[in-house]
Amino acid sequence: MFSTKKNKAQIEFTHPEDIWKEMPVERNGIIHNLPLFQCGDTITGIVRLSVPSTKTHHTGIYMMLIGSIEKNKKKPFFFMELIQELAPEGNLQESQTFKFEFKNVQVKYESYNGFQVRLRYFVRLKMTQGQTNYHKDSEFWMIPPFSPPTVDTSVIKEIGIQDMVHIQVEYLRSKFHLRDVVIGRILFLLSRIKLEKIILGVIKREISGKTIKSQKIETFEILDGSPDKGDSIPIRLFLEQFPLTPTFNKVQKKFSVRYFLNLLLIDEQGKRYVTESEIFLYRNFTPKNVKIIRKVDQEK
Amino acid sequence: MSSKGSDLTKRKESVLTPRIEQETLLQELKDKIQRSAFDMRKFLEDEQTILVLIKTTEMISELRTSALSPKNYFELYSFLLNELRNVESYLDEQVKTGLSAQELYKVVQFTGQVIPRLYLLITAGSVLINTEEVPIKDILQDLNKMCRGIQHPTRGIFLRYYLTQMVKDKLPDITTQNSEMHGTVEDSINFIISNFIEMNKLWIRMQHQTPFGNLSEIGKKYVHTMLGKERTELGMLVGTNLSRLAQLEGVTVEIYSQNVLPLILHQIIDCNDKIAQEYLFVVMIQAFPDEFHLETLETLLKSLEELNPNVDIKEILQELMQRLVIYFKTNRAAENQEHKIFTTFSDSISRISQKKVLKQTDLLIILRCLLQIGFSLNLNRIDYVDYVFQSAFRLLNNEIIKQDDSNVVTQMIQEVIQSYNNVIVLIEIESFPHLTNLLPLAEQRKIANNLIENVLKSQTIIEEIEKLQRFFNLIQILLNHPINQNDLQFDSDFQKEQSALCKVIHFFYSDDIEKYFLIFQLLIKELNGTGKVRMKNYIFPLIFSGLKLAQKMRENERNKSEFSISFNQLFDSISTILENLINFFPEVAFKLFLQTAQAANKCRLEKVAYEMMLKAITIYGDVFSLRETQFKMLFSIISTLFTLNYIGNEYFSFLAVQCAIHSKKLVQPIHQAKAICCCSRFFYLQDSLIPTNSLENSQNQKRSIQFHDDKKLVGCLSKAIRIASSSIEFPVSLESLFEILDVCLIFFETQKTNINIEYINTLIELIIQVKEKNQSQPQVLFPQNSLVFINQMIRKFIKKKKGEKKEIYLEINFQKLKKTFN
Repeated sequence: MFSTKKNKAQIEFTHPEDIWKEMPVERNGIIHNLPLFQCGDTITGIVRLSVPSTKTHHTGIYMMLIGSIEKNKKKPFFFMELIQELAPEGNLQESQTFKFEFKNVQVKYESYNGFQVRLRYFVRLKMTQGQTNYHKDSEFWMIPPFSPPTVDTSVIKEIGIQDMVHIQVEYLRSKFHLRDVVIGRILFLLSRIKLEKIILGVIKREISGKTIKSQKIETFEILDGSPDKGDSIPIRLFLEQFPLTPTFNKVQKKFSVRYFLNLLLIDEQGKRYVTESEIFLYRNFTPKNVKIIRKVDQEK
Repeated sequence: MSSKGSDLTKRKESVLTPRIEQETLLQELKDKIQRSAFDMRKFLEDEQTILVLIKTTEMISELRTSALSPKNYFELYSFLLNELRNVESYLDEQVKTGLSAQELYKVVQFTGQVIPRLYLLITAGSVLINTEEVPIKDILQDLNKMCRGIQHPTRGIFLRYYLTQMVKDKLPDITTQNSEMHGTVEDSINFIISNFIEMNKLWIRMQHQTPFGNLSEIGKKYVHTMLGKERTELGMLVGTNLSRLAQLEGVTVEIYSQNVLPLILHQIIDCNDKIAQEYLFVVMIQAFPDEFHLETLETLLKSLEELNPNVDIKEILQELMQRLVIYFKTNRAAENQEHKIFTTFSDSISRISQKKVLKQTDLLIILRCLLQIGFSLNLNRIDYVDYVFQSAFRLLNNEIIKQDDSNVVTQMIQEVIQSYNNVIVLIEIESFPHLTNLLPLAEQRKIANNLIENVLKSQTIIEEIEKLQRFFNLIQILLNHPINQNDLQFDSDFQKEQSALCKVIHFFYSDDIEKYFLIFQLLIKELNGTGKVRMKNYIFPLIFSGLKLAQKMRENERNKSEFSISFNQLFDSISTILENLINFFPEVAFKLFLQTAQAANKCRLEKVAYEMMLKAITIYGDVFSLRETQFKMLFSIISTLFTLNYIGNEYFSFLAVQCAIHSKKLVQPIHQAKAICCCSRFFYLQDSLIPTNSLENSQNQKRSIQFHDDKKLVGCLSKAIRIASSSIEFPVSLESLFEILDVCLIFFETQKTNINIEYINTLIELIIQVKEKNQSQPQVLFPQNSLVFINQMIRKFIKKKKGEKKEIYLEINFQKLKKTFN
């Protein structure tokens, strides 16, 4: 008679100014537009809960706000749990609407949607009925406060193969926001090999436990031909063209996401010479690709 | 063919794929561009900017090829350029209707491949400049910097060429509005120069980045030549920068000399590449105005010394100097500048020649240019010519070995001759003969001939003895070069040159007797002793020069006492010359003695004239009395003697008798008769009786001394009649007798000689006898002629002497004579 299967819940987020931002997230080939919140936002919404019979008993209805780290086939790890009681123990009418409100939600991490690791935020409606619980989740995208790094340093690397090629790579900065431009140069201190080209790549590494997943985001040719000693080749890479996330560093000791600039020298014989330097990515803006929509008032 | 596959794979590596393959490949790439361009134009119409950019990227990607030769790459580039221009104007339009040019400038930089990215960036940059949203200086700097991403020589040069083409009309100049956005001319200069430097670097790199593979030495050489050629073609693109720089009106001579030139020179010198240095120097000289070069001449020339030792400095200097020569033709250098310009060049050339990096011939060519510079600066500065000649002389170190060298030197000297066109100036050039003497014989002759021609053409009269001496020094070769005796007849050059030389001697005289005498002495010194072949030619002008001098002295006789020389001295000299000649050219000497005799006569030098005549008669007696021409010669003597109106009777009588004696000795009786008959006239010599043809020379001068010797007169005529009637064959004898009759009638007319009516009638009788004696002989020629002659005689006498002593003629037996011949 009290079948949880027949419980139905619909969670809707509300916004005082009816302006919504959404973040498109791809999962299994499907694009989900997740509501977007920033740290410090008050997350409000309404829940419409339908139960099969007019007199459904429960031992409590709660709204939870959960931050969770999920790895493939492993039990999610909740690093954050906020809870709010919607109704004390009692009977539920056939259909009832509750409001929820989490004030001034503070987060440290941005949502993350990786190859094998996800960092998700969602609200969970929880209704306990004796031995069974009824759940309903609704995910949203959370952006932590912008905290641009206070210290930034240029990167100068000298690399070379003895008596063949010797270059000095310089990046003016090592910390970039997601719409930033990587600026630098390659100075040829010695050039005895005939280079064909130099390609700059952005490499993303997702590290969780012992597994490291690498992805070459994009390759970007910066040199055609073989420079002579003294030549300086400019580097200018617009990061906004790539699907990048901020750098995650040992989040809850569960995972890291790191980015590297990969410089690949290819000579005329096809031999390759590689050098890598890590860059730190951070967010200083709300994502550009959000939809701003006006939600029709459904409260009636 | 098993090797074909590998060839094709290799073709990416080598620039030197066969021509056919190159063409095929070029066509393939063009087709690809065409296909992308087709799509691109479609999106262009639909205003789908992103898709336009994607298709444009595709098109430009074809420029990534390494397989084309620079020439074919150029064609591909040009093919693409048309499409890119469309894209540019499309984007321009889009920006006007709302597209953000700055956003565009950013977005094109997302392109992954470097070549399409940079072509697009330049295109977007060009659009951005038009919006005036960003200072042009920043855009130019950025483009310039980003283009460094292409370090492949050919591809890099073309990319930067595209850059110059796209911003060509957008560069700020002094004429454009001056503001932060528009920039200043300095921005343009900096931009062009840095682009130039980068292009030049790439261009030079071509030389070193050649895939040689396993080629043989010969193959490598071939490749080098081929590449050198193609590389030179690419130089044009590099040079475009300099031309553009020169087009900027804001590049004034001050800015040029202070900001532009030092940068360009630094780059050219620094690159130390032969081809680049040669080409760019020449382009620089051609691109910038000549005024700029003049202003910076010293810097420019000094920098030449710092070039790679293999650079053909001659080419560069020639270019510069020839341009300046043309420039000076229309723009005279300021007088105070002239000398500085010349010395700047001459100093530089002397430094360069000391370094001994240049070939001797090249240095000579440069000196020739310097000569032209000197001319164009100031023709009056013959010290410039002298300097050049001296330098050439020193350089050649006393001998000319190579044909090339002698050609240049000859041209140089001939140019000098032509430019001055005045021997009086030319002979002032001290080093002229020194340099000329180094040339081969043929060239020396050519130059000497030029000088002579010049005198003849300009009719320059040389009066000063020093100048004449210099002139002779210059043409010395004509007086002493060895003659090939065997070939003389065929050496028409020799004949021409000698006859010109003879003509030129006539231009050496002076109205000042003293000067003229010096000239004559010099002529004797220079010409006498040049050998018999030459003397045969020179003798006439030489003697005539002397005779002309005599004439001038005579004309100025009033001042005679002031002359330091006497007629006798002069005629002694002439006589001496002629005497030396007798053995070689008796005929010439003979004629000239007669001429001299006449001249002496005019000068009233009785004794000299007599001696000259005697010499002529002696030569006749020694040499010509046995020749066929004897009659003609003797008649020259006789007719000359008639003209000598100042010879006294004693001398005259002697000479006349000599003539008569020689007349009798003539070989042919008819000549004897003629000559003796003629000599008869010496013995009754009155002005009116001097044969008219001889009078021509004496020019109305009356004979001062009358001469009459009746005995000799009759003797001569009788002798003549005797010879005519007895020794001459009929009918020629008749002709002779008529002639004698004619002469007799002249004497008869005077009524003062022994030729009386009896004498005449006896002669007529004789003629009739001769005629009748030979009546039987066929009369082919004479009857008519005789009759005509007789009628003439009769008419003459009757007409002329009408009413005057008519009776004396009536006694002449004309009628009988006439009847005989009727």
